[in-house]
Amino acid sequence: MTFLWVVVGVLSVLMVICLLALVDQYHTLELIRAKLKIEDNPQPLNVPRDRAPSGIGLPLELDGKPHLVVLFLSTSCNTCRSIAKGLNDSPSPNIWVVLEHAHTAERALQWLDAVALPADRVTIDLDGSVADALTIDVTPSAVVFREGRVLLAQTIPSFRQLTPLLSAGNMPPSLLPVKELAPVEEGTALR
Amino acid sequence: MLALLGVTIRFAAAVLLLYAAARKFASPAPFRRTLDELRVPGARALGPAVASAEIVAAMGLVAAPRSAFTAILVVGLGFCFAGAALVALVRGQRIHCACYGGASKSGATLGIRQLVALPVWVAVAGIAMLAPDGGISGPRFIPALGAGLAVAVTGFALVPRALRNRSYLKVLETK
Repeated sequence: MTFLWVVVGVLSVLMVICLLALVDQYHTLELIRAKLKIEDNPQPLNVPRDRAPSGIGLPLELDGKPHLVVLFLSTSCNTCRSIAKGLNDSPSPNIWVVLEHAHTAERALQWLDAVALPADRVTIDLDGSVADALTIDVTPSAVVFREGRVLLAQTIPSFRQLTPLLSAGNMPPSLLPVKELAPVEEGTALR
Repeated sequence: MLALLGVTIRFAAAVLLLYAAARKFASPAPFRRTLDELRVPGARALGPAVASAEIVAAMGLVAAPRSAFTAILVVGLGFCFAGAALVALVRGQRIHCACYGGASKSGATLGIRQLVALPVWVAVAGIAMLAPDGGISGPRFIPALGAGLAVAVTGFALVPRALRNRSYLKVLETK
């Protein structure tokens, strides 16, 4: 009986070794992706914080939205196409698409038709003025507005990175900018 | 109370030794590198030998804590680790520590930590020998130790990485 327990014990140790080998394989995969720079990590974008949606050429009613994601897509990038298809699969009322580099309205509508994205929540930025107003020069990227004020701006390398931005409640605290310092109350002594 | 303390210390040391040994088998490169840097002859064979000794010591702490063989093995391993640290310190050499079998992310090196750990290993062996085992010893506890460690490795290391990988692959699918 003792021998059997030892055999089972050795088998359990072998199982641990196999699990750790699998962990090591995953770790190696992550290292390879990081080395080849093919991780889909979003990069923060530096945009003017004082712009409201209407101030950059978007419809006035967007200024009052408590949470708005303005997504900049280009007709000439494949990742933008996959993100647009992802939006089609899981639509969100908080998103507004700005389509860049279309050159003509017909071409923009063709692109929207191809990715099955409804045109009623899209601004076709033929002259690039919307992107210029926010100094956006990379697509796909997103600017999140809260109550008409810029909350954050970042590149969107995949639909996975867009998902947490779509709902105000789901946004992880790590994505939010550092809170502004609370104003000093009247009568508080400064030392 | 003493029995509970003894069991806790024995099992904690056994888990540590078993984890270190399993990592050495699963990913032998970091430990082999440490042995190479120490200029130990036969590093290729010594790596599995040390890992096997750790597994036997872990099993001994669980199955036969009062055995002199277990005590000698645990103290012997402690002396090996401390000896390696002493060699690194005497040579003034920065030798990467494959601490607990893994590659150290923080770039930790062999040194004071391993020397400080020596009395701890001696204490573990002493407690295992002298403290009452509370009826929690014997070969039937070896599978429990292995299974417990397997569950912990799965929950804390494997599942998070597997989920991250799955999420990454889903992105590629959409492209």
